[in-house]
Order: sequence, then structure tokens, then C-alpha cells
Amino acid sequence: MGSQLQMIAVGSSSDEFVRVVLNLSGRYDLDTVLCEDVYSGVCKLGEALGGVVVGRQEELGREDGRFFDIARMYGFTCCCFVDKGVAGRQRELVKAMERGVVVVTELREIDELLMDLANRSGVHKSRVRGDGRRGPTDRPASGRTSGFSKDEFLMTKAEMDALLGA
Amino acid sequence: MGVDENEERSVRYGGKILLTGDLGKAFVDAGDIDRDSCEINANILDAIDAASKGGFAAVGVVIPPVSGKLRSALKAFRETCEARIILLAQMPQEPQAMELIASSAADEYLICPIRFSALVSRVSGSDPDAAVRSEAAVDRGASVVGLDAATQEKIRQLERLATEDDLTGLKNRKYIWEFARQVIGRAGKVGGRITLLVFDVDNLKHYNDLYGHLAGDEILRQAAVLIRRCCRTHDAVGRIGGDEFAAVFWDDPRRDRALDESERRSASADHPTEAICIAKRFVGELEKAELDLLGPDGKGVLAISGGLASYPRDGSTIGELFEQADRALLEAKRSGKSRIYLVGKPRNDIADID
Repeated sequence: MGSQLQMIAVGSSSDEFVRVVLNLSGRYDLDTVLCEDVYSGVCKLGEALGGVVVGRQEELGREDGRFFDIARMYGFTCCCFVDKGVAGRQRELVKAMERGVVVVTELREIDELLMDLANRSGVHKSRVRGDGRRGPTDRPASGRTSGFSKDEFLMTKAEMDALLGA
Repeated sequence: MGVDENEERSVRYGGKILLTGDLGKAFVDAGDIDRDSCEINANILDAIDAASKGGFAAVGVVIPPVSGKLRSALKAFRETCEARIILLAQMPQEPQAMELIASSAADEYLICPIRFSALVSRVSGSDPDAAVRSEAAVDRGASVVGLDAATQEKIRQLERLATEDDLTGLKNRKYIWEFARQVIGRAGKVGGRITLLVFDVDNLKHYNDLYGHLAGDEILRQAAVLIRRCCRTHDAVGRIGGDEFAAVFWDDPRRDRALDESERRSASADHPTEAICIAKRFVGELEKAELDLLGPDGKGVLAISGGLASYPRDGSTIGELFEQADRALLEAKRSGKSRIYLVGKPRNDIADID
């Protein structure tokens, strides 16, 4: 059943980062779906009870970062991976963080995030609409998304400055 | 408007129309859009999300000026709903729209601007001219449907002013440039052959000085008629300067599907023979042409010098192709005029190629 879905990985299956994320999700036994891009990712958001979307910032941030807002409406937390050397993308990153996106710069952080999600999964259950598809208003209470405490993973101001070279 | 009336409308349309993109570019008057019969989501991700909830008879997607991921977005619409996908394209985007339809990413396209009622007619099937655009794409004079005759004529006039050369009726420089840019972009993704012919009429100044500018204009018109007659319907032909013309020979997407991958690769490795044949035929037609305005001297005097450059061997952008074709044209002129040279060939006069 679609509502078991916990993670959406967005990106090309040939991308090393995506492969690592899929391996991690397998290790933590997370129900995961792979979407090639944000466009197909949007189609999957309504099929679950919320969870985490993981992908590279370049992909998740397409179309003015609108994906972040839609994902949040469906109770998903976006986790953007950013390679070092983000010159020119500072504004996008700040905007993403303002939208509650978790920005990570190391795969280790993704590992921790998914481990946390796995440990906490099942804590929170959202309502499911009659058509089996969740609506934006069915979002979980703020601060908690599908049993995942994103606050622990939000980047601090100091970390952000270090990342952006400020 | 009452609820029942809205429902009746919805039933008549078989669902609402979902619109996405810059609607200001798509419709003659965005104020005409009937919000009861459609849902608008400017951002395409919101539109995909809305489409996934169902209830739409059609999705109208305005092709953006820069549309790197448009194909992915259309694929998402396909996966998430069964609505017809209608592309709303500007005239220079027609090759792109044709290609998307040829690859089944969309169902049909309309050349904008149109009235909202035209889109509704198309979706509801009440449009008597509702031939699917993928078929109509062959004749490249796409019409604006669903408008009263006077408005249609005004729009056609505006289109002509924006894209055509008033002296010859061929396309103008802006159109040719944009058209070539689009087909090169397409060829970069899916392969395909493109050849650019740039030519000018030999000794036009001489005829202008001797017989007057009306005669010069007639010569240009005559050359335009002949080149258009020699080209295929899907090739774009234009006057790009005073006596300078250009033709873009490219692979029709429907024919393209028939080419297998190896054929496509080998074909793109060299100057396509079709383009050379067309250029030769054109030269032959010029030799036979009679220019009445020049009196008894008017037979067989019409001549051109030209250069042919092909993508990708001679350039990977429209700018590079024009530069190379222009260079070949200059060489042809320096070598005595009345000939077409190929870029980068040891024996580069097309008359020497069997």
C-alpha cells in the first residue's frame, strides 16, 4: 500500500549519490521509491503518509524550488545534498532553508537522518483520505514529519556560513 | 453562473482544463479565461500535483522559452493522469512542439496566441477544425481556430508582420534564426541532419542601377519563388538581408522515426544528399528562369552564389553554421560567382558532386 512509503529518492539511478542513498534506505529497511526528477517526484507525494525526500539541491530546487513547498504540504521533509563549492547558489540555498529544507553536505549526515527516520517511523500516523491519497491539509503536526525530527538536522547559522563561505 | 450550469459545462468538456505556464503568452486576452471551466497553476509542479488528483479533460501547457526539462514534466503528466496534453506554442517553437508530439510526449499543439474559447472548443470536440495538430504539422501554416474571422485575420497579419519578409513572402531573419536554433537543439538531443544554405543574388546592384529598383525587387521575388518551390514543405526558407536568403533543411520528425539509429548516425556524419540535391535543383531552376522585366536579356541571367554548412560537422550552434556558410558563400563569390560551395570539401562546388 502506498501509505507505507517513507522515502522518495529523487535523481538519476546512475548518480553515485543516489545509489548511496538507495543503499542506505535498504540498510534501514525504509520503504523507498526512486523518481528520476522532481516532476515524477510530485506524482508520488500524495501516495504516502509523509516522510523524507532526498535528492541533490540542483534537482529538488527546480522550478523555483516549488517542490519544497508541495512536499511540505504533503508532510514530507526535503533533504538536499549539496556538494562543496556552492558559489552562485547561495541565494537558492538560503531560500531552501527558509522553507524548512534540510541541507546536508556530507553523506554521513544522510546516513544519520535515515537512521533517525527508521528509528522513529511508526510513531506518527496521519489520516488518509477516502481515495487513499493524502491531501495537503492532512499534514502531520508541525515539527514532526512522519516520525522524523527534522529540527535536529537543520543547519545552524554557523554551519550555513561555513558552507556558503561567508 | 449557477452551480448546475458549471456542472453541465464540466460534463460537456468531459472535465476541466488544467492550464500551466505563462498564460499571457498563450491567450489573446487572458481576461477571457473562464475560471469555472479550468484550473490555473502557473508553476508546472503545482499543475502536475493538481493533475494527479484527476478530473481533467485536458492539460494545456504553455511551452516556456527555456524548456530544458519540459519533456520530463510532460512525462509526469502522462504518468499521473489520462487527460489530453495540448501544447500552447509560439510560432518559432513549432519545431519543438512537432518533435514532442512525434515522440508522443504530447497529443497536439496550438499556435498561440489563441482565444480561450478556441481551446475549449478543441477540448470539447465542438471545434469543426479539430484535426490533431500532429497531422496538420505537415502544412506549416497553422491556423488559429475558434475565433471570429476578423480576429483570425488580424492575428494572421500580426504573425506575418512578425515572421515574414513583406517583399518576398518568405520568412524573415528572426524566424529563420529561431527556427534553426530550435532544430539544432532538437538534433543535439535526438540526432538528425540539418543543413543551412545561405545565398545571395549575383549582380543585383547592376540590375538595380540599370533597370531600376522595381526590377531588382522582382528579381528577389523570382528567386524567392524558385527556392520555395525547390524546398520541401517542412524546410524553412527566408530572406535574411537585402539580397541574402537562407534555407534550413532538416529532418521531418515523422520521417525521422523511420530512420534507424545507425542510419541516423551515418547520415549526420556528412552533408545530407537531399540538401545538395535541393540546392542543385534550385540552381537548375534559376538557369531556366525568364525575367520579363529585363527584356530579351532576361533569360538565364538569374544566378546566385551560396554556401552550404551542415550540423554537426561544420558547427554546433546556429551562429557557427551561419558563419561557416557565409564563409563558403564568400569563397563562391571570389571564385567567379554563380555557384554554391560546401564547407570543408576539397572539391567544394556542389556542381562537382554526383
